[in-house]
Amino acid sequence: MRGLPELQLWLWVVSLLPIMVVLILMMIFRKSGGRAGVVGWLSTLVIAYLWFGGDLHVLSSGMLKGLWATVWVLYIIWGAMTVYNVVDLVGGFKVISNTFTRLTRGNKILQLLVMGWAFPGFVQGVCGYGVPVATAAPILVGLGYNPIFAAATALIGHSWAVTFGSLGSSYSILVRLTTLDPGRLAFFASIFLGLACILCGYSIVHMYGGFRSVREYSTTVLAMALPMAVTLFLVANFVTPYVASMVAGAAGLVVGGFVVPRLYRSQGVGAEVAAGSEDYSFHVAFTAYYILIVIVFTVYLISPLKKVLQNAWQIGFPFPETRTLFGFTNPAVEKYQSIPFFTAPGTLIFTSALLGYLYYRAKGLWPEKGGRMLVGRFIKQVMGATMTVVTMTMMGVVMMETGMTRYIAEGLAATGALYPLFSPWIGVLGAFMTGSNTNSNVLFTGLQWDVAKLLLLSPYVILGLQTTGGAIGNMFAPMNVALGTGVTGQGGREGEVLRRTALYNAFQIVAVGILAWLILYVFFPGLD
Amino acid sequence: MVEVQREPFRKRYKSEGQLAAFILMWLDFPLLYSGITSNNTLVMGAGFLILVGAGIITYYFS
Repeated sequence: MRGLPELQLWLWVVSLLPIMVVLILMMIFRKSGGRAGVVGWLSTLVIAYLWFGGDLHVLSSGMLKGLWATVWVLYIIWGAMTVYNVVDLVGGFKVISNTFTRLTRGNKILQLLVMGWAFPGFVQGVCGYGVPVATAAPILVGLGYNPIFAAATALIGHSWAVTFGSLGSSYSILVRLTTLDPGRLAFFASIFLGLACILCGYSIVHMYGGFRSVREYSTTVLAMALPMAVTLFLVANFVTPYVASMVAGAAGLVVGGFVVPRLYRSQGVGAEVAAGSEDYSFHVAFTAYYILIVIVFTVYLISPLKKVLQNAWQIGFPFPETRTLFGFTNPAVEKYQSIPFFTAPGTLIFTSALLGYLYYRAKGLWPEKGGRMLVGRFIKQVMGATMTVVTMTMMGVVMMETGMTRYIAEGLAATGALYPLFSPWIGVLGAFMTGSNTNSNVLFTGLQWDVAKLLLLSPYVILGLQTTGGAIGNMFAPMNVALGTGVTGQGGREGEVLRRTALYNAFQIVAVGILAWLILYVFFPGLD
Repeated sequence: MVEVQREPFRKRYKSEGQLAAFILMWLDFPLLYSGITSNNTLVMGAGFLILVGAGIITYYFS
């Protein structure tokens, strides 16, 4: 392997150790994300130094790049926490909760599926980068769900929409990094992601009440899942993949918000819930989130505006080339992970927090000493998630810069005919390390394409698996999990969320892998 | 006599300790960055150790 040690089983296991250590500490020993992250990060430094030729220059550069990369995520977490607290300080979540309870006739499952599955999928369609989790999870908490459950639901609920979300940024990387037909790439990705969409709905219902809930609410899930999955497939293949998640999410919102409640009403399921004695309306309470949605849509959907704002001010630092003792090279970059300040999701979220605050203040809803309460809550809520993001990101970037991540992926690539079952795990690995489907595709598109050629497998199917793994892996990535715990004020309890999402992540990846294996070896052997 | 139960230091200053570690990491950023860009091993080593030290503080307070 170029720039890497010879592929050996013991070294492959060693290279996987930091990830295993993090998972074991968080999921079995229930350590906080910060603690697990520090152990993972320091063990990565030792392993990279001893076996991957990482000298002081490579390791320092990796850590510093990792530290810089956290700015993007932290900006979102801090902004989302601010919006949440602004709405909460004026008592808005009580009003939102009462309204949803009335609309859904007290049907908690329907609230959960609409706000934890269709809504984040829809938001992901326009602006990903953590915004779906940052908006949906606090709303679910406000609706009365356990914060850990709310975070896990939003993480699971948005994952199916990631590849074609953010106006197709992860998909466009697949297209840009290969010379393959974009239409066929979208075809297989939309099949796997459609399956993932359906499984996300069932995963959420299962997490809510086990198999009993799955049996009881199977029709409700299917009534929403089928329109979403079919819309995703049709739009990706016959309109454009770049808006497929947005339209599919919107379909879910319409069906879940208007059609299914009517069905329930006609069957006499649930009961009318009397209007509460709220001081103000739902729309007033939801104003901060309305502002956020309007700002996000304006900036991301009006291309000329987005272009102007994107180029107005980009913050980033140049980094020189680094090379391990084995020759694994990270080329010099002019601006590493530059942040377009005016279009960064964090900026949009903070702007809506500020405008929301001004609105509530003008309405006379802002409490006395509200500013002090906001800052006090904020620091207590965000520090745990912040340190998880910082330590995990440094671990991830050092692993990438020393070739450890590549080594793990190449080990998985040596599985021969079973490769379709392991291929999506490579996508998951990329998402786990970077918290991003796009970055996972940047890291592994080349590798997956090479392996597909080597094993004479359809590159379209394999790359569909790569991006699906990268999308589903978003629910499992520690950085995203920390975002979920941060925005629900549960910093330090990342392990509890990870335990839930890990199970459904594995279930979905196995299902997608089996479908792909059947396509390649049973239904269409020799498929191009 | 009633014995007053005091919260351990680690728990009492959890948020403040994490905040201190976070600030230390960012104060170290220019030092480590200058070491990397100028390829100065001494500066890089110092920056590296400070960052690891901040990590250990994080571990203690997390």
